[in-house]
Formats: sequence, structure tokens, C-alpha cells
Amino acid sequence: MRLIKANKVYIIMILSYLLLETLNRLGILNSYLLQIIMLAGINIIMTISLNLVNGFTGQFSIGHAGFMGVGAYSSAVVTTVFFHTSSWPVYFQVPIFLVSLIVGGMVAGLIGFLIGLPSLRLKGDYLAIVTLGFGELLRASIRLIDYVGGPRGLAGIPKYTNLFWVFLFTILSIYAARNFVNSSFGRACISIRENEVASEAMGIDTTKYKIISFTFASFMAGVAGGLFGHLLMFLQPDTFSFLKSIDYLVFLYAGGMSSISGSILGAGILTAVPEFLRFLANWRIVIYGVLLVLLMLKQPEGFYGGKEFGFLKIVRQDKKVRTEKAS
Amino acid sequence: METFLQLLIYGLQLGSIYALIALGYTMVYGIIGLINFAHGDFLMVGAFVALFAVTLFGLGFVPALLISMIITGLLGVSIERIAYKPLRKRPRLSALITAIGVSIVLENFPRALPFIGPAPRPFPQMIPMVKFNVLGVSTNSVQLIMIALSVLLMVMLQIIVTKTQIGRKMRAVSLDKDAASLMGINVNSVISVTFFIGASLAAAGGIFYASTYPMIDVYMGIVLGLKAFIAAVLGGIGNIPGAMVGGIIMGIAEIFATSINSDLGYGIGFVILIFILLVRPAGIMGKFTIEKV
Amino acid sequence: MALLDVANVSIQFGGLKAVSDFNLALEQGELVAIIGPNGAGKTTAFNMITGLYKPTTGDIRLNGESLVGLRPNEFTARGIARTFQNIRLFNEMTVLDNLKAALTLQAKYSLREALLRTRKFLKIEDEIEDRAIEILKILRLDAKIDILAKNLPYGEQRRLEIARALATNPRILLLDEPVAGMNPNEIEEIIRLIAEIRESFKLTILLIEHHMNVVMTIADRIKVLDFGQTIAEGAPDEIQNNPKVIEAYLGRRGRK
Repeated sequence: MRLIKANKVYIIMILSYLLLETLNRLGILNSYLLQIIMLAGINIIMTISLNLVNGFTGQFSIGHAGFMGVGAYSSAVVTTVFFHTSSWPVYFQVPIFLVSLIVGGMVAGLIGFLIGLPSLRLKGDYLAIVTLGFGELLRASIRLIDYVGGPRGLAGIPKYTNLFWVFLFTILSIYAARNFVNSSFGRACISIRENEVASEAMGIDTTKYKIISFTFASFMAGVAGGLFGHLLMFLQPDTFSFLKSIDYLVFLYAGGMSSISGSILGAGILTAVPEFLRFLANWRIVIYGVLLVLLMLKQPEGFYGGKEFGFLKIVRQDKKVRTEKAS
Repeated sequence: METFLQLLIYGLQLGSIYALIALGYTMVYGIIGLINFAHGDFLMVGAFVALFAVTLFGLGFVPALLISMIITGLLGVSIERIAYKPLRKRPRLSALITAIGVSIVLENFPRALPFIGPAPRPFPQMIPMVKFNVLGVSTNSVQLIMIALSVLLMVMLQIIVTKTQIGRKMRAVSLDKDAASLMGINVNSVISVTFFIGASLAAAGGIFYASTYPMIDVYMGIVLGLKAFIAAVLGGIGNIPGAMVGGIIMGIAEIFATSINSDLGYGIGFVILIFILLVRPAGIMGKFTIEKV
Repeated sequence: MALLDVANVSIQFGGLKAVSDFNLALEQGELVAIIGPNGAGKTTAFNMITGLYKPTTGDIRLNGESLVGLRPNEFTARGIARTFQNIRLFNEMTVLDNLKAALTLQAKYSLREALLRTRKFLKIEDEIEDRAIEILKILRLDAKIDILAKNLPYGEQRRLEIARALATNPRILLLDEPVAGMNPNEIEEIIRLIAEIRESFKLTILLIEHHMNVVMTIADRIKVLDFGQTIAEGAPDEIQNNPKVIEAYLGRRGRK
């Protein structure tokens, strides 16, 4: 009983995955719904990673789709162009897919590092505009690379992304973000957001921590991109335009800044809402826009700004409890 | 040399359109510190209003331009009142997301209307096209009139801002809203006037653009707005002459780069922008302030 | 050799020389106060000694090592900590997290260890927390650890500023008007606290203060600035009777 209580969250997660997977296998979840659920998972990863930079570190970055695109392309290059995995025995395919996701994350992280180095000296709106600019430049650069199909796009990517992988990586991202925030890295980042001058005066190398959070977020976006490419099976540079970056910004703010739970809600709900509004045909996006304006007017902090679900908090224990536990 | 002049004149024309639109971004930013994401859509609204004024009511170029500027200006004022004003005391980023929401509505509302819809439509030729050839450079009446009108509008704006009562009030509000209001300036009405001028200049920009590249659709404001926004930042956001300079630079650079490769044409603005901001973080004409400790 | 040696430091903003030829030799364990009318350049001098402003000319040496040109965080890492006149807490963080943020330099684990929450990570985090609570106890803030900094009363915010500076493990502590805006009881408490931490942390303290009683009570040595120039320097009773000081500073006050 105690074991169940202590691991409640993990059990709920595993059960909900099993439930979804069963519904899927029984054919109750049609492929359209399944696709939306998987997109929601990928969007959650994207939004959480954007939150690390915008919410927790307080650096206004809005070119996040660019990193997703870099990750998506790098990952697809590994499986599709480089290894032609689909011609390999099945048991090789999954490991290569996983490697490709890491490669996607690393390339995106590297580009994030290189972009962050000069840009993060800028503050506020100027940083926002430079990141927007870099995001668009990344997209324009992909258009110029013939190796990955240029503006025509890259087709024939095998469909490796499934419910299991999306679920796994979403949960990994949530926990990675939670642990990041609840460490000296997270505290340093938050202190930069709260007061950069004081943060420096406390010995915190603000540039270093900004770059760490930016690079880490780019890495996560790259992994999300890899999942995205192997879900859609086709990549086109213009998918990763600034409009997609804006989508994530909207998910982030609607969900609530500096809240991992908010990002989960924001990305989850706002991925689903337009789909539920489909019966409205052309009016659907109009209603979406109106809802967004109303949300910001009625609740500018978003769904869950500044708060966290219980399982995402790390409860501080008294010294006494800690020593008892240790003994 | 002739190609150079030829490209230069195209660049000037495009640049003057960017400048008109950039002015709205910069004025709104200067006065309430908001990046009005929906500003690009005003130019689309302006182009459509002019289209209907011409096709349904048979108006000529000048009345259509004026009516479009007035209607779009009023739209700008009402959007500010409904969507932005309640958020004025809130974190600026909430207002930015609201602006994104407004932009989504502005684009998709006409798209959902049966008589507009998503398909691009041709924009009527309102000014008789006469081609000239000066020193081996070919130009035409439309091009020259558009450049002239843009310059005229910018000169008028400069006069309004520097020489009139309302211009003084606008500058006062942009420096310090609270102090301005203590001096008896009605801050709300000054902000409304700013939105009116900004939106109507964007409408003019949209019409000028459509007169040169005569296909319009509900999404035309997105990329055009983005480029104009970059122009505003390039010049130093919040700075009116800066927006004009930034717009012209963007237009000329884009035309020259596009003559080499169209993706380069799209990317060049961002390259210039990033370069300028990394060297001069507040833009060409912006002032950079040191944080006081 | 002095612990901190500030030699002929000047800074210019545009045409204005905000501080000129500022000299200061701080011996280990000393408590020196800088006084002077508003705008005399006291905080500017602080900002140079903590790396926030780079002096136009002159040198700042800590134990013989020149610090000019280093980033503020590097000044702190070498043992110079400060508080701010206009309180600069991490408002949306709890009191405890304010301290833990200031203990970042002590968090010697990698990003990987933090993400995996390894044993080593947990151990260091425990140490950081113990250290934070220890310092908060000294500043009598341990009952408030879970309160957001912005929700503290004013006097406690000033104390948290000091606690946070102590967390960086300084050798030299710079206090910028630590009793500004406090009532007599609170002032008394701060005076006691400063004496206490000076003793227990073996601190060398440099202090800016307008409050004459405070300065006269606790300072070993006083330096008087006016218009960016040092106009007097010496023991409290010397300063009290220095006619230049009375004219520039006390005199002005006296006429009020």
C-alpha cells in the first residue's frame, strides 16, 4: 500500500498509457485521434522547453520552431538519408531511431549554443526579435540545402514515432525540466529572471546559465522535432516558420509562465481545442483566436501560471525527517 | 550601372511601403511598449476595403485610399479599446499574446466570410500605367506615384508629430504616461490617435503594395508585417525617422538580394537585423540606456 | 599588505567625473564607513569595488590580485559581496531559495547529476540547505523560509539582503545603506547583527550610511566623500570635529 502511494504518479502514468494503448489496439482510438494525442505530446515537450528559457530564465525567445526544425531534419537525415533504416532488419531500426533522436537533439543544442552565445547579451524585446530572426534564418538555410530536399522537403521518412515513444519522451522531458528547475541550475536561472544585477552580485555567471538553459531547451526542441518528423513522415522547411514558433508561445502563455504544469495544460488543451472545433469549418480558427483573447483578458496569468501540480513539486523536508530517512 | 539603378528604384518603392507599415509598429511601441502583432493585418484590411470601395462603389483611387485609411484607422482604435486597453497595467507579454489572438481573428474572420474567402484575388489597376524610360532605367507612373505618396504621408506624419498639439501630446505620453496624465493630457485619447494614425498608414501601405503586386489575400499581412517590423527594429523601435530609414534599407537590400536568389531575398533582412542588433543593440537610431544601479 | 587596495580609482560618465582619485586600503577585520551627501559618489565607488562599473583609471587589488575588468560575479567569487541600497531581492522566490541562489557557487555538481538527482546531487543540495538555514538563523529569518521575498516586511527584506550576501561566503562585505528607512528599534538590531556577523564570519566590512549614530557607533574609520572627492578620512571623533566635513555634510544637515 505504501509502495503504491509513494509511486502514485508513476502508476497513474503507466495506467493511463496502458489505457490509451489498449484503446488504440482495440481500434477505439481512430488514427486521427491518435495523431492528435501524439502531436499534443510533442507540443508539450516543445512548450516545456520554451518555458525553461522564457518562463524560468526570463529571456524572451521566440524562434523556437527553428530548433525543432533543425532537430527534425537532423534526425530524419540519420534514419532516412544516411542509414536508409527501412532496408535494415527490424531490430536495428528502433535503436537507430533512438540514436537519431539524440543526434537531432545534439545538433539543435549545438546550434542553440552558437546562436545563444552572441544573442543572449541582448535583453527583452531585442532578444525576442533576434531569436525570431535566427529561427527564420534556420528555416531559410534548410531551404537552401539540396541534400535534404531544399524547399521541396524531405519525404520517405519511416514512421517510427508511436504512442509509446511519445509518451516516454514527454514524461522524460517533464521530469528533466522539473529536476532542472529544482537544482542550482534552475535557481540560478530564476534569479536571473528576478534580478539580473543581484544575480551577478551573488556570484552567478549569468551568461553561462542563460546559455545552459537556452542550449538545454534547444536540445529538447530538437528531440521533439525528431519525434515530429518520424510521425509525419514528411518534412518541409516552411513547417518550421515563425508562425509555428508563435504557436508555442501561445501554448506557453495560455498555460501559464514558469509552470511546467501550465505548459502541459496549455499545449495539451490548445492542441485539442481546434480539433474539437472542426465542426465550425472556416469559423474554427476565428473562434480559437477569440478564445485566446478572452483567456488573456480574463486570466492574464494563463491556466496555471506560477503554480504546479503536486507531483511536479519537490517538497522540502525538514532536517529531522531527512536524518531519519538517512539512518 | 543601369541594372543597379533599376534595382534601386524597385528597392526604394518596396522600402517606402515597408517604412509606412513600420511607422505604425514604431509609434505604438513608442507609446505603449507593445509589439502590436496584429499591425500587419491592418494592411490587409486596408487593401480589401479599397478593393470593395473600387469594385462595389466604383470609387476612384484617391477616395478609395482615404476611405480605406479612415476605416482601417477606426478598426485600429476599436481593437486597442477592446483588446489592449484592459491589459495596459498587466505584464507586456500578456498583451503580446492578446495581439497574436487579435491577429488570428483579423486574418481568419474575412477568410471565413463567403464573399472573401481564402483564395487570392486580383487587385484593380486604379492608376493608368504609363511607362517611362529615363537614362536606360525603366519605370512607370504607378511606381513613381506610390513613392511620391509614401513620402508625402511620411512628411505629413513628421509635421504632425513635431509641429502640432497632438504630436506634442504623443511625445509626452511616450516619455512618461503618468506625468503626462498629471499635466492634464488625456492619455487614452492620445493612444487612440496613435493607433488611428498607425493603422491608417498601414492601410495606405497595403494599398500601395497591392497596386504594385496586384494579388491580395487574407494572409498577405503576415510576411509583409514581419518585414516591416524588422525594419522598425532595424531603425530603432520607437523612433519615427528610424522606421523610415529601416524600411528603405530593408526594401533596397531585399530587392538586391532577391535578384541573386529568392531565399536570400527573404533571409537578408534577418541577417542585417541580427548584425545591427549585435553591434548596436538598440537599432540604428535608437538610444541604448544603461541600467542604473 | 592591505586586504583590499583601491588605488587612485576614477570613473567618468560622459563628461561627468562621478568619482575621482578614490583611495582605500582595507585591512583584514576592519569596519570602514563611507559617508557624504547624496550624489557624492558613494554608491558609484561601491559599484566599482564590486565590478558593476569598470573604473576609467586606477586599480583595485584584492590580496595583491588586480580585479579591474573582471565581471561582477568574479568579484563575488573572489570574496567581495554586497547589498543594494534599493533592495534587489529575488522577489518571486522564497526566502530559502534566495539564499540557495546565492549559494550557487557551492553547488559543485554537473547538469547530468542534477537531472538524474544522483546521490552526490542530493548530498550537496542537503549541505546547501543546511548552510542556508544556518545563515537565516543568524539573521533571525529562519521562521520565514517559505515566504516569498516580496511578501516580507521592509526591515526583514533588508536583513535578507545581508543574509544573501553572506551566503556567497565573502571576506569583504559591502553594505549600501543597511538601515535606510528603518525605525530606531530595527536600527539597533541591525547594529547588533553587523557586529555579530563581523565577529563570526571574520568579515572586513565597508559601509555606506547616512545615519550618523550608526556610523559613529560601529565604524573604525570613516571616509567622507563630496562631489566625487575624498575630503576627509579618519577615526569617528576626528571626523566629527573636522570643519570641512561639518561644512560639506553635517553643516548642511544642521541647517535643515
